[in-house]
Amino acid sequence: MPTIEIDGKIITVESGLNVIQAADRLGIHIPRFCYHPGLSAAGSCRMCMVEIEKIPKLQTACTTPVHDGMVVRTDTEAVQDARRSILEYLLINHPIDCPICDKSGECLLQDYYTDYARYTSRFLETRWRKRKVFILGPTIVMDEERCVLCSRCVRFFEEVSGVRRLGIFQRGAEAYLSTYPGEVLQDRYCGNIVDICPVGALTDRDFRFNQRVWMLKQGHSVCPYCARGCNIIVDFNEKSDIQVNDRRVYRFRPRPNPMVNRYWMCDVGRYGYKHLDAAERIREPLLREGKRLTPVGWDRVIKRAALRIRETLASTGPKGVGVLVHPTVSCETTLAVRELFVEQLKIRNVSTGFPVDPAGFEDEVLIRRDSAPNRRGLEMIGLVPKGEEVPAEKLAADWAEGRIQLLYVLGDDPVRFQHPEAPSPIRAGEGILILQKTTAGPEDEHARMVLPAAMPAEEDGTFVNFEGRVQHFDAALAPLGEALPACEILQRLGEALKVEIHPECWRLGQETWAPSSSS
Amino acid sequence: MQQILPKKEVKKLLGRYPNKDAALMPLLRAIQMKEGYISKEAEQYAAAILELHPSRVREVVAFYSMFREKPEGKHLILVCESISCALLGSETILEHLKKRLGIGIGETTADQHFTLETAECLACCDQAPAVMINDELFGPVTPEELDRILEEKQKAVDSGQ
Amino acid sequence: MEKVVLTRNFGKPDSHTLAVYEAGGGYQSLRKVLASWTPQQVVEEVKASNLRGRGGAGFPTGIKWGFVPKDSPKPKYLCVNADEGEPGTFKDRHIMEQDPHMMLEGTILSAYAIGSQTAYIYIRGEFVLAGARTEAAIAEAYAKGYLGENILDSGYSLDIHVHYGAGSYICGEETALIESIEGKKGWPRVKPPFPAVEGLFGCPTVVNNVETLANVPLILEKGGAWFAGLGTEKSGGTKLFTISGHVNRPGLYELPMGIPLLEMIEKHAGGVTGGRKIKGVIPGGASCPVLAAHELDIKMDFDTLMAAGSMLGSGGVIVLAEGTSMLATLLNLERFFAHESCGQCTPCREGTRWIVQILERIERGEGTAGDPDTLIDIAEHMAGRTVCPLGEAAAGPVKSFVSKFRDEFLPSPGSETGPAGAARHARAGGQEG
Repeated sequence: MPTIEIDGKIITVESGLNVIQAADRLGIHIPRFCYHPGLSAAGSCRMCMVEIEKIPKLQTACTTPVHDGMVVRTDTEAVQDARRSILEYLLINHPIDCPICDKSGECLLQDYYTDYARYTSRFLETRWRKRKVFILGPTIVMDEERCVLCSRCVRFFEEVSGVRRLGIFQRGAEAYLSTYPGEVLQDRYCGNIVDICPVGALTDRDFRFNQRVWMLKQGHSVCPYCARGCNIIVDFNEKSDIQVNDRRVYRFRPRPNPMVNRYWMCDVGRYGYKHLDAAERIREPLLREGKRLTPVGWDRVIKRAALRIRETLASTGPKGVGVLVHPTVSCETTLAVRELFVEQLKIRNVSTGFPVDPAGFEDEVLIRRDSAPNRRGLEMIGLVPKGEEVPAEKLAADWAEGRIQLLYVLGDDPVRFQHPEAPSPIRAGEGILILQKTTAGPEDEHARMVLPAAMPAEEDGTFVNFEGRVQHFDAALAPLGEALPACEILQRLGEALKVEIHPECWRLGQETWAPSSSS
Repeated sequence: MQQILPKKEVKKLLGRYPNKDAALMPLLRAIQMKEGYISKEAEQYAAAILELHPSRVREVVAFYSMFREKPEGKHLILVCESISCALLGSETILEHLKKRLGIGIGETTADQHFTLETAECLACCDQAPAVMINDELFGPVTPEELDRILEEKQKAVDSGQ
Repeated sequence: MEKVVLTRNFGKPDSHTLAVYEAGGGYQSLRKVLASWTPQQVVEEVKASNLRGRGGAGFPTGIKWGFVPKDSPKPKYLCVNADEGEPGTFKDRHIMEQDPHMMLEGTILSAYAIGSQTAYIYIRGEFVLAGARTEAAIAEAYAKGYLGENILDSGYSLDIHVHYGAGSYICGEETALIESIEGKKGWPRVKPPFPAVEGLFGCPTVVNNVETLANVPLILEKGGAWFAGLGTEKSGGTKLFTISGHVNRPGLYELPMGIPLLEMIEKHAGGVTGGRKIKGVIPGGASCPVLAAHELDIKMDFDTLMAAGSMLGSGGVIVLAEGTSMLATLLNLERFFAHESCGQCTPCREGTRWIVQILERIERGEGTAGDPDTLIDIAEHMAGRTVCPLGEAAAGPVKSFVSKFRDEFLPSPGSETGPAGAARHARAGGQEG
């Protein structure tokens, strides 16, 4: 394990690391354009040059392996001078159109310019004019004038997504980034190239011109759109003019986690942020009055739900009530369901959702066939002892055919969530259907009441991903409208049912995780 | 997809390298020898043979100046512009050719007989100023000598038709 | 005195054929070595010869071979750099056209020394005749059993393939050459890893210049000590110099290392055309810093030229006579480097184009007093800051031309602050008539 010194700070790291990685661990930021921790080192932008004792020339930190006793300086006049010159080379042909550039505020070129650049240009020549607003594909637009040819995007497709969709053509100053002529840039992971583009060359057509990034607040969460559970950043504006008196979410971005998603996420998850503020979001509790679902307050809908549950239990006993939990709900919600419905109300017609869609897409990168984020969590908790669970299809059939008089459905159907056009497996029934979910769907027309639940980004919770990795997340932002975190809805329902459930037992501990022993 | 080269030839080229994609340059060279240039179809043909994304092929075609992306005339005239030839008047030679052929650099005469290009050092500095016409080197050349050479080439093309 | 070693067969009728090469003693070294020498003996003999790479860098060949790991289970490759593209240099083309077997025998011996069973000769795409003669020579060598399986019953096998370039100067840089053989753009690789450890197809690789390898058969025939004795203390053998520009007898000359530059120009190249004075000399090909008239009393070897702030490079001597526009000359050189920059790394991609733009503006008569300093500053920030030596190659001429002939890069000669004017339309020329 080599020990090295950077700017007077000592660190011991595993061998094979490059100087820039060691510096990152020390919190010393060495400026870079082409280097990205998730990609091979190209060593081409020459921005990360540092002084290394006993080596006469400056070295690129991203390609120089550490060795024991190495002494690195990143703050000398020679290093500053090198940075200044690289910035000058990059800026002579740059349009410097920060005021109209979407990347403004999160652009490395802009940041480094303010830190290191020469402010008076020596460039007396005609600036190189290249393609602006060049549509690469349905989600990505390119500004060739802003491109610094760092090749991060090229390497991303080659090394991460697996298909080499971009190339750098021609040579010298005429080199330019493009797809193969005539080819439209489409890839399930396209959005990542916008995240890693260190300048404003690649922008996202969805986000473009929607918001200046410094207006946005960041929250952390876990992506709910498949069993991978990519860690994400939720970018939102607390005071949106578009949506009066409410926050608005503008994008999801990947949050690095080497064990789960490294630095990436797929476009399904990325654009999944739209669900948060979608017109289909249920913003108020709804109660069927006559033929229509009518907005009512929480008190009324909870009282009504409790009343119906009590009535049904009284007339049919637990066997007349079914509970269907989609594996889109958190572990905490699952524990609350177990506590309330299974252990207290003794309901055994319990299902943990429909099986994985065998036609779903899966790849070697991130995307899992199982589009539910917490199936593993539900399995581990176990609503009922193993083997006693009711298959969701049977529960749905029992409901539709009248063998169950009341069905309580928690969470959104993971398949339908991504494919709104898919038919709902919950058909009409004679009895009472209570839905607790985030987003409107065709089964709502059969429901007596719809309880608006928070999306995962709006609540605290825990998901267990397909590998068994337990990922806790805190609420990134407040729920939309009157929606409430699922656990809170269940707690209110418990109170109305006069059943005492203990919110603290939703906290995850070994004991709580143990499957229910009551029978 | 159209087979541009005989399978046997492709196999021979592939056999020289342990990795398939290493055969890209000889493959493109063989295609250009046969077709005169590398068309978009040829790029895709090469990509299919070597199991590469066409952008990988395109990068190579666009990087190397000898790979031509459009058809050229029957005679490709390369005028060396590098220093030793420049010192001995390559600019005069180039201007003379432009005027005589009525075309600019990178252009082909209307009758498709001549394409005019500049070249980097052809390693004929001892014969400066040097000009290469197809595979043949001429140097040192004067405008008068070039006139004579071009007339011969023109005659050859005419009689060949 | 001209020492005829490498050019011994040049000018003979059919010098490129196997028959002529064998008649002059060709392939005797190969027979001798394969019969009784170990690869390590070959390496030692070449080390003793003080043979230094003829491609430009002048690195000792035997030492370079020694970097190849002996215990690596991977195949090893030898690449012959026949991508001669440095303006002013034309020695390798002559070797391949006139005596390709000399290069081939050297290649086989060197491949044997490093334990390689596959070699690639990377020939410039423009070299039609040189390529044809090399391919013909390879066919002859296979037919005679000098190549292929079990060469001369020694148990040693070697295949040689020709790989043609396609118009890119940078592919003469060894890692760009490797990339190019792998079927990619000629983007030089970041080092480490060095090719000797991880080169072609990820395997240990040696890249040697044509002239370097052409020396090997004679070294093994007559001994390393004999070869070392032909040269200077630190650099063995003779050197192929190519002289061009304003001289009466431009051409290829085999001369001893360390020959005085002026002797080479006056005695061998017949002096300057029109009896003019020399204004400057580029001593080793386009990338080498120019020597001004007062610096010409100098010996032509790696170390002396390095000490004088220039380089022996590839031995391409370009003579610039009185009357030559240094502005036009530098513009020509820098256009070449800008055109040949691979575009991968920032300083070279942006710097070479910017330098050309400034020089073009000065040529249009729109120069400013600050231009010479800006040019030198741009060049200084390119040199040593790039992935490969092209940044350095492009910077050397700028620094030397502008500092040694500063007047020619100013708005009006002699005045650092004078008004813009005095358009210089005089092109690099100065040829009589």
